[in-house]
Amino acid sequence: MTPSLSVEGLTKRYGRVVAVDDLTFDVRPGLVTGLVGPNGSGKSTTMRCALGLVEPTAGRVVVDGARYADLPAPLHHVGALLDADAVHGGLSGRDHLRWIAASNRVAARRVDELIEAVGLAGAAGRSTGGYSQGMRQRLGIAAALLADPPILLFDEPMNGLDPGGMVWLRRLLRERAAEGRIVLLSSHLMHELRDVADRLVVIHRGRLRADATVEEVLALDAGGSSLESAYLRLVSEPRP
Amino acid sequence: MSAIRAAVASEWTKAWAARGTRWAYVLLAGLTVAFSVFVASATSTVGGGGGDDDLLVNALAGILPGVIVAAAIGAAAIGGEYGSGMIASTFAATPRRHRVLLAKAGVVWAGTTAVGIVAAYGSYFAARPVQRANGYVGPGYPDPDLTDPTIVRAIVGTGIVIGLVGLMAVGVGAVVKRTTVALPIVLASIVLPGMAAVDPSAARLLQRWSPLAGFAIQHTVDRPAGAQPTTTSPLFYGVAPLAGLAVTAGYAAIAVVAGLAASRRRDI
Repeated sequence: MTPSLSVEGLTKRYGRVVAVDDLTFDVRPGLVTGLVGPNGSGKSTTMRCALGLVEPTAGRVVVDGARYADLPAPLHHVGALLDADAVHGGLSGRDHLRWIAASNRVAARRVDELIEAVGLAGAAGRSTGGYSQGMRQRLGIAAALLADPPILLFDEPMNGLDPGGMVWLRRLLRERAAEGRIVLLSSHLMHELRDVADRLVVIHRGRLRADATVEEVLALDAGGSSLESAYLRLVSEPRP
Repeated sequence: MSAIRAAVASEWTKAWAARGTRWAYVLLAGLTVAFSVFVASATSTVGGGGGDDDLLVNALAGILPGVIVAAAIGAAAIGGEYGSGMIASTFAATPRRHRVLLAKAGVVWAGTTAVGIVAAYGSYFAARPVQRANGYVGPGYPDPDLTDPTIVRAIVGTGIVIGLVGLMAVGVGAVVKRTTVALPIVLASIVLPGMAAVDPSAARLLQRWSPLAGFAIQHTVDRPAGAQPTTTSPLFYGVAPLAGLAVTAGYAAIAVVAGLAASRRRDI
C-alpha cells in the first residue's frame, strides 16, 4: 500500500492564539519533505495534530486513509520523533524501546536491532537520565523506526546531533524515502534541510507560504542561489 | 481485548523497568511491617485494662505508611509521564487513551494490592510476638485464629485498602497531571479525617464518608457504632468493615472515572 499523509484545512487555536490556520498540504511518498518555518510557526502543532495528541479546532490530518487515533496499531503506520528529551529518566534506553514495542506488538528482537542501528549498543542498559542530547535524539529515532513504519514524522531531528550524527541521519532519511516511504521533517533552520529535502512546505504564523520543490523555492530568490534568502522572503513578506 | 492486553504489557514493562518503582515497592512492604511492629511495641496491657483491645488493628497499624507509599506509586506512575513529557509517546503509541489509563491503573492496583497483602501478613507475623511480650496473651488475648473469616478479612483487607489508595492516586494523578499535586490530595483525604478529633460527631462522620473509611476493614471486635477510640484502635468504630471498604472503593472508582474523562481530549 502506498502511504499517504494529508493535512486538510487544519486549524488549531489556543484561546485567542491561532497556532495553525487553515493549513492544507499533502506529503508525497518517495521524497524527503521539509516542514520549515520560524519558531512558533505551527510546525510542532501540525505534527501533534497528525499524531492525535492535539485536537484540531477545525480540519483534520488523514494518515493512510484514517485519523491517526483510529489506526489499530498506529506505530506500524507512523513513526514519530517529537521531543527527544521526553523520556522517563529512570528507564534504560532498552526498556524505553521495550515498552513502546509491547504497546504495538512489535517483535522484541527489533529493540536490539534498532539499538544497534542507531549506535546506542554501548549505552542501552544505562538510564536515559544520563544520556547526552545526541544520545536521546538517537533513542528517539530508534523509537520512531521500531515498527518499520511507512511514514516518518521527525520534529527538529537535527537538534543535538553532532556533525557525524547529522550526516548519518540525512543518509537514513534519504534511504527511507528512496524505499517509497513518506518522510516529513521539520526545522527552523533552512540550511539543515538543504542537503536532505526534495520538497519544502514553508509555513509562517500557521499559514502555508510555499509547497514546492527545493528548486522552485530557490527560484523565488532573485539570485536563485540562496535557499536561506528565499526562505526569509517567504516568511517576512506580507501574504499576497 | 487484545488491544488492552498490549497496553497492559506496555505499562507492565514500564512499571517494573524503572528502578524507582522497584524501590517504592520494597518501601511499601518494609515500612508497613516496621510501623506495625513499632506500634505493637509501644502498646501494652499494663495500665490499660479495657479488655476488648482489637489486636488486629494494632498488629496492622502499618496500613498508614502502606497507603502513603501506595499513593506515591500511583501518583508517580502517571505524574512522572506528564512531568517528563513521555506521555506524548505513550498516547502516540496507544491513542485510545482510556486503554493507557486503565492499563496503568490495573498494573498499579495489582502491584500495590499484592505487595500490600504480603506486607499485611508480614506485619501480623512480626507484630504478634511483640504483642505477646507486652502482655497480650491468653486467656484474655488468645492468639487469633488465622482461618477465622473475620481475621482473614482484616489482614487481606489491609492489602486491599492499600491497593485501592494506589488506584485512587492514579485517577487523581491523571486529572491533575502532577505527582506533587496528586499526592497531597490523596494523602490529605486519608490522614486529615483521622486527625479531625475536635468534635466527635464530625470525626465520626468524616471517618465514615472519607477514603479513610476503608480502614474499618481491620476491625475484628464487635463494638457499638461510634465507640470511642482506644489505644489499640485509634479510630471510631463508626462504619461496618465491609461498608467502609466499599466507601474507599467508591472513591477509587470516582477518581479513575475522573481521570479517564480528563485524559480523553486533553492536548498533549
